[in-house]
This record gives sequence, structure tokens and C-alpha cells, in this order.
Amino acid sequence: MVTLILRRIAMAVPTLLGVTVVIWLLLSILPGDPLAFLLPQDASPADRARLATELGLDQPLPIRYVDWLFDMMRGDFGYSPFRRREVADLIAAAWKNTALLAGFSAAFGLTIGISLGTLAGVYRGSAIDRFVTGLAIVGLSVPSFWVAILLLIVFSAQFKVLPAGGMATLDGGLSSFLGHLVMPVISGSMVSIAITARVTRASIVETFKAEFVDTLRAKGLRERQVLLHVAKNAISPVLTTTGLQVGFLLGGSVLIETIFSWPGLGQLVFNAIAARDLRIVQATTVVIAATFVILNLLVDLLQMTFDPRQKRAA
Amino acid sequence: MALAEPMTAHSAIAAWAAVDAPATPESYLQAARRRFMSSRVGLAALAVLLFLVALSVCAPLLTSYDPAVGQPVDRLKAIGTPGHLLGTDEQGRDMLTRILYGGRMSLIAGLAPVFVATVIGTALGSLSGFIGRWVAAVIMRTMDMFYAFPAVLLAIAISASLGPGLFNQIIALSIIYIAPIARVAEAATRRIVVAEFIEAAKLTGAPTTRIIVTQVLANIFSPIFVYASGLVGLAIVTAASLSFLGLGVRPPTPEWGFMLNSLRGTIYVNPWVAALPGFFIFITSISFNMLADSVRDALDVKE
Amino acid sequence: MTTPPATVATGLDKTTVEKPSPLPLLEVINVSKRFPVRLGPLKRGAVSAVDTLSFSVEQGQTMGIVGESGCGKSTAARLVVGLLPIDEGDVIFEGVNVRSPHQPRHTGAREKEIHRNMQMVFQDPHSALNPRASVGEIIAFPMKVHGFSRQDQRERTGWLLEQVGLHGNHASYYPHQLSGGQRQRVNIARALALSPKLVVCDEAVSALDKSVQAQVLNLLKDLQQELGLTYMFISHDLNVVEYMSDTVCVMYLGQAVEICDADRLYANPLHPYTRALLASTPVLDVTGAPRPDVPPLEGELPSPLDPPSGCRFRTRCPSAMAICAEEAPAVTQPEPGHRVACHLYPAGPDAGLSMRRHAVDGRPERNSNA
Repeated sequence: MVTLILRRIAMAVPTLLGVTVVIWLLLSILPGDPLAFLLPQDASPADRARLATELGLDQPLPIRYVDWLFDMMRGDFGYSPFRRREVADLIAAAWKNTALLAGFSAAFGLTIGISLGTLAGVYRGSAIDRFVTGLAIVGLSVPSFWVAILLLIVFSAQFKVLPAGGMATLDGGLSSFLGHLVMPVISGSMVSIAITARVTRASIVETFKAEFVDTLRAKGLRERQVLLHVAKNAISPVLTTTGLQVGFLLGGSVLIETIFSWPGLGQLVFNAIAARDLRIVQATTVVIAATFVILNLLVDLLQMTFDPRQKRAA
Repeated sequence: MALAEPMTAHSAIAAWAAVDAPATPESYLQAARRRFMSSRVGLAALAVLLFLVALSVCAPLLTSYDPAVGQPVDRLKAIGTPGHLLGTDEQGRDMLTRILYGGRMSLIAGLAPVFVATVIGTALGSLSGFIGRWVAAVIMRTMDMFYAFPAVLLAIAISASLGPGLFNQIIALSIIYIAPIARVAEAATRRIVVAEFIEAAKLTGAPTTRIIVTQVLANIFSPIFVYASGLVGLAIVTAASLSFLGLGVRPPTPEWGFMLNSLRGTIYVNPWVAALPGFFIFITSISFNMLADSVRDALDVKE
Repeated sequence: MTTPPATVATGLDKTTVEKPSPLPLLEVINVSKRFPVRLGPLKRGAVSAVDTLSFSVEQGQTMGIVGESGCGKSTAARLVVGLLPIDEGDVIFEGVNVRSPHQPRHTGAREKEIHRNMQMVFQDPHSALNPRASVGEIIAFPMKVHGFSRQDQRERTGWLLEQVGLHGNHASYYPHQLSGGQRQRVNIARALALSPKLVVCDEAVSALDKSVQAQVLNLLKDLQQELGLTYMFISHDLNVVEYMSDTVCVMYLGQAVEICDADRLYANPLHPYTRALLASTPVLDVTGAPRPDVPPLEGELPSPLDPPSGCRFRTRCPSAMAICAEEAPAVTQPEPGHRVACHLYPAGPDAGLSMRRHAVDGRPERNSNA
């Protein structure tokens, strides 16, 4: 068991390295002049060459990659001339806020999604099932940023019951803290709810077909007890998708945080794009991707401990 | 050993076989089309999409306003204003006109990347699946790297480094969809290459590429097509997301995602006009998703 | 019977049907094949699928290959036609060595000529036909690759369909609209599309119902007579092999253990494995030779990853002796043209034989690197 866990952890290392290679290659090789934004318009070719040497841009690609990677592992993400701060500090501050929002969104999405999916799976073929299935296809199709704007129109513009943006700490009181979270969490977790509901429903329906359910019923268990057994066996595929969903949440955070002025990584990326500060975009992408890889690793490890079948698969 | 009398009269067997066979041979795709034509949801979604495409293509015939230039006096008119059926935006441009023209960009930005990614992903996936060994190892492990990213984020990062514009947006979105399509294509190819008819094709002496094109592609088409059609709805939303962030077409060209962002500030003044572009993104996306579901059922692909 | 509309000119056409060639059509000499397998993260092993297999097939005759599943018959078929690269040994077709070790599949002009003369009828009627292609397209594909004109393709497809007992109209049908037997007829028609000399039938009737089996076997026999075909007929079914073959090669764990004329083999099996195999098979033909009175086969096939030392059959052999574990038995010829690899038949004056040719005519063995 321990060796299995260690092996799974070891497997994440090449993935993390791959992430850095992909991002670095994409942002280094794709067309676009990295110096254009750092130099004044009238810079001379000599100034240009000096800056290129300073940034190590005259080195061959593999050396530049290794330099960049080692800098990052030391926590040195470079300096943002636009924000006049170390990129690492900016990211560290924003990361916590994004984690808070993503955490609440994931918890909300999973709870609602599993509840709806279970209802639909147990009462399959009924009106509830059709409603949930329809809701899931809506959730998958609806742009989260549109939901965000609709919520803003209704709750901030029309009824003025929720704050239009920003983040509150717990010091300002629980209601203010939660009030700021409501709309970002709902709009951000639409896709999550849809996927969870779909997978849960399918898994419940599939588990009900299994032979052990007939055995339980034959033993005289009440339907409520049977359902408990079914739910326990149906949860594994749902857990598998949680990693994927955190991906959707992190990717969607750029839009949601921008709309609700949430001071997280997403907003950091958006502002950096607007200012053409690619260094921040690059670093933030790597940090988010690394978070994503590690979260997926944790989900896998969690499943290995819960589901004995996964041990053999790993 | 006496098994059966040797058959000398081939024609007798032929006559028996001809009677036994169905009257009209129906190919797989003909059967799929028949199944699709009996799906009401699929036909309705297709009708909505064709209607949206027709509207955006015929935009110049349907409205006389300029999509890029507005009358500042007519700013922020509400839905239902005479002369401006869907109101006007913050620059006094007619919303109906901008929605119609904007559909062109949104549809292209959603469809083109899926098409490009399907072509490249199918080529990479079928090659890996067919050849296996180190070719598959190199291609598929590279594809795995793309799975370590939240897709939207990667698209944003690529798009940001390429700079704004429709073409760059299409490149960014194409890149993120290649990996999943290559996976689907590889899995489908691996299922099919063990079939004996592939060995039969090898025995003709035909080169690998010819075998892939003539024997493999038709057999992996269904799962790839189903997967790709399911991606279109997602791609429409993701493309609109990039535009929303200012990474799509440059203003003043109308595009639904960007319109939604620039109208964000007017929700207190003219709320329902501000929500309009999102409504159209949603309708397009959900129609594609429902169409994809019907196509999956018609092609009889199990997920 | 009509004449074939498109006559095929082949580069290797050196022999004629009327005058038997002095050489066998196909000679397989000491061919071996191992498949690498992963036993652990670092441990590698190899399954010995075919081990120093040798036999030869005369023009216009049928060589039956029989053995339990997993004995390497299908691998042997794929090595002969070139679907798998051989590790060691030679495959000599019409006097020309057509395979070199470890070479992957070639698609050059010379290989195309070889493919044209060696075709295969596959086992599974479901997986052998491209489900997305019509019967006509399936049969015409080899001709298309070999540059037949559209007209020739169409005419020859019709002719082939008639040859295998189907109707010309079947060209427009799709595999799922045909029965198992009909599919196998299409499978045969495709194998004949290029007018091959050698047709390798890999369990060609195993997936069919008994009644349909008989029809397809008789069709194969008719076609052999009409077209002068040479068959390598592979099956696990001793009765079917007996019915089809002139010569039979019995395989066990990748090795040939006995090769002999079909009549003599069934009348007087020498190898304990052949005897046990025959004893476990019901006799269908009461007029034929009775089955040997030995206990039927027991136990499981040993793992080909780690085959037993010496004689590979010794773990299941009722007559196993001490020497069987130490030495691999040499090939001997206890009666003329009847070769067997077993310590029960000690090497006589003709020591040093191989299974390559059952020397009915007393010809000397040819040098392998011809």
C-alpha cells in the first residue's frame, strides 16, 4: 500500500515537469516579442541586445528553460514592472483567495450535484429525473459569466440584496463574508453541479442493476437500507470526477473573479493580460496547473484508501 | 470421413442466398440518418442552429444599421424601443444588428477550433493507435501533458501570449482540444487494429497510411464525431469566454462574448439588454449539446 | 464454371499446375518467434510462441496444422504470410527466401508480389470483414491496391462471389446483413482476389455451426481443385484437419512433434501427444481408423514463458522417462515419411533429420540458405 502511494506520487513528478515544459514552450516559442513590452518605443538595437542578455534571451532554449525552472523552484517568479511587486508575492496573496472561492464552489457543487443526481437515479424515469437531466444539460451549456451577470442584474441591480463584488474577511461578520461568496459560488459551480448530477445519476442507476442489490432485497432489507448500500458503491465514479471539476473551477475563476472583483489568481491573470504582462500570466498558469495536478493526486490517493479495487488499478 | 456432399452447383446456393438477403442493403450511415430523422429533440436543435446561422449570414439583408457605429443620442435604449427591437448598447449601436453580426464571429470561433482539433487529433491518435510502440509513447505522453491543465486556463495563457484576434483565438482553442480528441481516436483505433480485417488489409501490401485512411478512419469516425460534436457547445462558450476577457476579435467588430463584457457596466441602467448576448451564447451552446446527444444516439455509440 | 475475367500475371510465376514442381511451394525452416513480455517494472521475459518450426508444403496439396489453443499455430500462420516478423529461420516460397529476421512489414514492389501469392482466410467472421465497407468494396480492396482497373475489379468481384457460392448482388450488402457462413465465403473470396498460390486458412471454420462448417470445407476443397490452390490449413479440430489435409503437422507449445501423411497419422499416431489428442476426440467416421486406446489428455498446457526442460510435453506425457527432462528429443523417422520428435523412438541411422521435409521421394535435404 505504501509503495503504491509512493509510486502514484512519483508519477506526478513527470506530469509537473511536463506542465512547466508546455507552458514554457508555448510562451517562448509562439510568436510574440517578449521584449516589446519591456522596452520603450524608441529603444535602440543596443538597448535591445543589452536587455536580451540581461534576461538570458541570447542563451539556447534548453538552458533558458532550466534557468527558468530553477528560478521558479526557488520561489523566484521574477518582478512585475507593471505591478511593481515580486510576482511570487502577488501570486501568494491571490492563491489563498482563489482557494477559498474554489473550495466553497466545489463543496457547493458536489453537495447539490450529488443530491440532484441521487434523486434522479433513485426515481429514474420520473418527472424529477427528467427535470434533473434537463437541468444538467442547461448547466453544461450555460456560460458561467452570463449566469454571473444575470445574478448581478437580479440581486444587485434590481433587489440590491447582495454586494456586486469584492471579498470580505470573517472579521467583517459572517453575513458579509457569505454575502460576498453567494453569487461567485453559484455562477462558478454551474458546470460542476451539472457534471456531478449526471455522473451520480448514471452511477446510481448502474449500481441498482448489480446483483448484490437483489441479494439485499431478498435478505429482506428495507428500501432505505438498500439505498444506503447502493450509494456507498456508487460514490467512486463521482469522486473520480472531482479532480476534473476543480479544473473547471480554476479555469472558470478567471471569468468569475473578474466579474465579481474577487482578488484571486483569476483576476491577477485578467489584469496581467490587459497590461500585457506575460510573466504574470506564465507564472500564474504554472501555479494553477501545479495546484490542479496535486489536487488530482490527492483525489487519487483518497480513492485508493476508500476503494480497494483502485489499489490494483494503480 | 463423410461430411457432406461436395457442392457442385454454386448457382443453387446463390439463389438461396439471394432470397435470404434483405431487399434493400442499408449502410451504417444510412441507418444513422434514419435514426436521427426520427429524433424530435435533435431535429429541433438542428432547426434552431440553422435559423441562427441563416440570421447571421443574412445579417446585412435583415438590418440597415451599421454594427460598428452607433448614434450616441440613442444610447442604452431598452428592449422594444421602436426602431431598435432589442434596444441599443452603451454607444448607441442597434443591439439586434450587433447580435446578428456577432453570431458570425461566435459561431466561427466555436466551430473552427473543433474542426481543426478533430483533423489533427484524429491524425495523431489514429497513427499512435495503429503503430503503437514508441510512436504512441511519444505522441500520447505529450498529449497527457495537456491534461494537467484546466483547459480554459491553458487557452487563456496561449491566447494571451499570441495576442488578441479571431485567428489567434482559434489557434489557442484548437490546441486545447487536440489532446482529448487524440485520446478518443487512439482508443478507438486500438480497438479496431486488432480486428482481422486490418491484417487482411496488411496482406495486400498496402502502405500504413493507406490502410489507416481506407480501413481505420471509417471505423473510428463515430466515436470521434460524437465526441467532437459534444465539444462544439463547450467551444462556443469557451470562445466567448476568451472574447469576454478581451482575447477575441478586436472591437468594434461585434462578438457575443465581448459584447457581454462591454455591457457589464450598464446592468444598473439597462439590465436586460446587457444580458442579451449571453442568452444567444446559451441558446447556441445548448442547441449544439442537444444535437450532439441526438447524433450520439443515432450513431449508436456507447459512452 | 466461367473463366476468370481478369487473369493475373505474376512475377513469381515459375511453376505450372500440370507439371508438379521439383521443389515444394513453401518451405518453413527452423522458424522461431518469441514475444517479449513485461513481468514486473524491470523484469522482462519472452514467450516462446514458435520454436524451430520446420515443414514444407507441396504444390496443390494441403498441409494441416493441428494442436491445442495456444500451441502457436496461429502465430505460425502469421509468420508464414508475413504479418509478424520472424526472429530466426527462413521461409522459402517457390525457392526464394521471402522473409528475413526482425524485418517489419514491407510495402515495396517485391513484397507486394509475395503478398499477391500468399493470402489468408481469417478465423472470426465478425472481425475479418470491415463493418463499414460493402462486400464489393471488401473483395475489391486487394485488387485496388494492386492497380486493377475499375472494370476488372467489378467483373472479378462478381466472378469471385459466384465462385464462393454467393450472388453477384451481394456486392452491395454490408457484413452485418450476412450470416456467419456467408461472411466466411466473403472472407474466402477476398483471399482469392489476387489469385494466390498459397492460401493459409487460420481456423477458417471454427466459428461456424457444424452444418455450415461442412459447406465451407467442401467449398474450400472445390476451389482447391478448380484453381489449383495450395493450402496451409490450421485448426484445433482433428476431424476437420483429417478431412482437409494431405499431410498433417502436430504442434505442441510452439514445436512440431509429429509430421506425417494424414492417413498414416490417424491410423498410426506415434507421438504420445498425438495419441492423447486423438484419444480425446470423438470418431466421426466409423469406417476410418479407430482412435488409439490411451488415456485422453489431462492437465493444463504449461506456461510458454517457462517451457519444461528437455521435451516440452513430458509434464503431461504418460510415457515420460528420465531422459525426457534432460534432453530435447531429436527428430527421427520410425517409418518412411513419418517424422516424430520423441525419446520413445531413438535416433537410427538417419540421425540429423529435421521436420522440414517428409522425404517420401527420398530427395536429399536442401541447403537452407537457398
